[in-house]
Amino acid sequence: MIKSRIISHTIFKRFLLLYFAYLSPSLLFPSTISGYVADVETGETIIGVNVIVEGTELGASTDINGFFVVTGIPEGNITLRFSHIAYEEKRENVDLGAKNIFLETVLLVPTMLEGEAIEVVANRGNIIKTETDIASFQADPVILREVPQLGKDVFELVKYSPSVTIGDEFSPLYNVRGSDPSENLVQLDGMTIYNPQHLFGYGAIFNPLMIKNIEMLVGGFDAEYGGRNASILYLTSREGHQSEVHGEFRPSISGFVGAVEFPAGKGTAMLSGRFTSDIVTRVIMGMGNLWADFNGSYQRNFGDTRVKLSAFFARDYIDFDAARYAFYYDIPELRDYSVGNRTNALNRAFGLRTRSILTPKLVLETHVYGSAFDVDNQTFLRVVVEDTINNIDVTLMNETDMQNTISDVTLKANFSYFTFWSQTVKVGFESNDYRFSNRASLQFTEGVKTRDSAQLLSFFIQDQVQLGPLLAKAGIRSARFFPEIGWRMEPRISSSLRLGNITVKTAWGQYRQYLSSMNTADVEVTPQSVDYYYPLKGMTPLFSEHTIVGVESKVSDRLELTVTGYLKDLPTLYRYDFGNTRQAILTHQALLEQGKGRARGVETMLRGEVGRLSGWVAYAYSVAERSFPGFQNGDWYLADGDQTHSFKSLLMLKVTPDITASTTLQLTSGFPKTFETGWVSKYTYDPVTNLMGEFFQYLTPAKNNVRFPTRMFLELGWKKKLRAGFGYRLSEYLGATDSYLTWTVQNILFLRRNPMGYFYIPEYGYYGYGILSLPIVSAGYSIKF
Amino acid sequence: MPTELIETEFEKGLNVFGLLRDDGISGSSFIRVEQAIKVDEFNDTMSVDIRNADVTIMHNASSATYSFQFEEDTARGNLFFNPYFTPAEGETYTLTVKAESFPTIFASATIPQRPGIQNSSFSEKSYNFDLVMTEDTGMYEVYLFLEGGGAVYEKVINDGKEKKKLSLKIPDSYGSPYLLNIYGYDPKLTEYTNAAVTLRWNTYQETVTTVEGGYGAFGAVTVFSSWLNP
Repeated sequence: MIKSRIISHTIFKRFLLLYFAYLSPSLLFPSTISGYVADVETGETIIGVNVIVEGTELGASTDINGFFVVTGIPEGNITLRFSHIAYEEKRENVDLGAKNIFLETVLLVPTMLEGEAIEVVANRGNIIKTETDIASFQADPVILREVPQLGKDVFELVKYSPSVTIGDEFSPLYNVRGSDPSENLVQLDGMTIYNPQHLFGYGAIFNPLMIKNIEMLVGGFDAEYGGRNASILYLTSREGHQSEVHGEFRPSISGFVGAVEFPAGKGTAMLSGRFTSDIVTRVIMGMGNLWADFNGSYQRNFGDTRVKLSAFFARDYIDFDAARYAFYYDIPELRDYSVGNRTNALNRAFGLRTRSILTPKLVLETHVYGSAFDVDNQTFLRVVVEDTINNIDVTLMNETDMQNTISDVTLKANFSYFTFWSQTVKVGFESNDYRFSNRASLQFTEGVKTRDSAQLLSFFIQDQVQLGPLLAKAGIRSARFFPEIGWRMEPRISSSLRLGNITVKTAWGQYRQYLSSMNTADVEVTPQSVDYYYPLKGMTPLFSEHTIVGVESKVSDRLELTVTGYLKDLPTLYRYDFGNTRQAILTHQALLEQGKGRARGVETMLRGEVGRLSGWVAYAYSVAERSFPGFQNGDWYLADGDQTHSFKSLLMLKVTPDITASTTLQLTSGFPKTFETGWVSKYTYDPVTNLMGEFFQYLTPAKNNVRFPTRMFLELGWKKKLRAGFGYRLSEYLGATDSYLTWTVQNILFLRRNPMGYFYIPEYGYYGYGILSLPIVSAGYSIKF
Repeated sequence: MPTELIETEFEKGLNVFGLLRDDGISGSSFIRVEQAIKVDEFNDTMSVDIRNADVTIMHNASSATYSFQFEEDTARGNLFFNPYFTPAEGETYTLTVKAESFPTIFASATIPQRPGIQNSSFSEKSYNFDLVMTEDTGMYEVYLFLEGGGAVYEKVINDGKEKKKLSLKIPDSYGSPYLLNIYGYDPKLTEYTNAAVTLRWNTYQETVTTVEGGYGAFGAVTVFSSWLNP
């Protein structure tokens, strides 16, 4: 006992000595400078500005809020240098004394670098930036404007990340590093947006014209983030313009896309909207359809406090029946058929966010928001054919009707304390108050309607220390899912070690998720297009453990190579057992089967600029598997979305100051899919007449038992600033400052088919079919004011 | 063509639909016997019927065995019948189907209790009653037939409660109700009937079957019928 106490005292003394040594620089150099950096014309804060104390190695970069903090500065007069590739360099002298100073807002003047790729792709930021996070994918939204073949869609852009795979060409859902789509969190200005995609191939519900910054964390994220296990896509909306009205507008025959920024009183504001309704299908074919999303934000400073109001609204409606397209069908045995979906979806969110500089070293952030999503998604199939053998008409009907409402009122707050040696301690909490309403109906059963509520309360502490070339982070998140008892811990650590031009990054962390979603991909008549959320009350939460090692190397000033390997253990996953037809009377939770998963992979990416060429090329090898005890004897099988090899590139060439040419290429392994071994009759029964009918049903003894052939997609884009012609004159007449013409050529490799599926044709064999047969050329026009 | 990842063999077997109907009419029960076939065996003219099967139903309590014979029925397709067979409420029956070169199929089904109603009443344009539900019934299909044609339909899944209040609304353009039919399905037939079939190829679906040794379903339906005088 005495010996151990002596050892304890010794350890304690050593700890104090180390702590004092650690602390002493801050006593010698106690000063801290913090502040915002903003564009002098728009007033919008700038991300990624380097702030250097001249004559020292001290410095920092502005964060997502345009905020910087430099600590441990020696007292006296110093000069701060602000540099950014798209702005004129600025120096500012500060008489620091022994004080901590908050500089408020430093304004930078934008510059244009004629002829260089960066002029186009990085007016306000880099193409893709890597910060200290081990696994982040950041992209400047300018790419969405410059690469027209992306369809101005954030998710299309995200799919060019090597960490992202998909499991169905038509579903907007995506997988990140072997996880399920429901494990992805998407936030707009910090507000969780549920089901952030428009239905049926219309992409993300975020107007690209309103996006200021896109950042995607694909693993190993800090303790600050919770709620989802796979990825966090963090979008920041534009802040408005402080002196003039500016905007962009793109009309089309089916709708419009627009955004406008303007000064509003003592603040700035932004409004944006998109509206699409296909006139041909709506008017001529009588199929209602509507895709719309609207955003607004207002920002104002109150002393050292910045306040931002954000609002979001999206609405989708589709009444689709393939039978109405089938005017060319002439199959005598086909009496009648109908297949399609009727879907109503509504998304809205509203939030108030504040950021207060309490002292130059202490920042308080608060956020309160409400976000809700409703969907009623009916898919249906009705086929009536003549049974020529039995000389009767048989009818097969199948219907799914999934209804889901989730609402979330969230309150969160955190303090960031910038201590010494570039140490940052962040402490915070988050409270999510959820309401759910669910109903899953198959085959015209009523289904069980459930209403539920739950509260997720989380606390976190995150410490980040910069010690010379080493950046180390450690944090822990603790969460309780009320009304359950007990807190669950999620420890997370990461590091970044700079060795000359090479940076070695590591991360390890545990993640838990208390919401899940049904995978209805195998039961809905049309591909799954939305997630249906429900709480994992009384159940073990989804669990995920990430281990990541990466190396970054500067190939040149503007070219960087990264190699990242990851292992992901998924010991708790759930499968919704649709084979259990008692679904009609059981609650969601009762139909869940617990299983497990695992994923591993290596990703490489070369990104940056070479002369007029910019963008990235990436390759990834990955494996994602699942196992459920009640399913295929518990054997491992490939997860939906597993794509072993994927090569992706997005390249832009500044042909002239007015023209940008771009290419996008995806060369990936095909999807794992289920191939049928045979078929049987599926019988139907009419009790009134005591007659039976039958239709065929495929036999599928094993899920994902085949892999489809390699997918290859090459697309070209062309964007030109107009200097003459009707488009130019129209923009002049409208008082616009610029106008643009875009061209895209899709499906260039049309001679090499990308099969979406295979079906068997007697006396022919298996026929692989794709949706695109010839290249598609399209054009667009936009004006900027 | 896709690359095979999991060796997946076609499992040969009979595919049956056996229905025991308790409606008081002798011979209203029937069995259909077919075979499962490989995808590449399919062609437009082939028949999957198995006509020479040995089909028997045994009454478990008495061990009485009824042989069902194949008949070509233009109204109901090719089925196996026994004109003297009448299942009884609450009794359990075992189906055996044998056919050369196929595994033998076994299945059992219990005839559910006949559905009952309580507290029936008419209000303006609706017919209301309590449906009495029993454990041996998985699902009820309710038909309210209306004068001038048409019927109001409602499917009720047994959620374990004793009763369920139903209010069948009568559309304005239809006449008065004159007949109420309620069909009670045993749990196995309920399960089979409600299984999802998407018809999407290259998509996994669990094959729902309620028989052993093959594919298909064997179940029972009981019938309640009442003439109404609103």
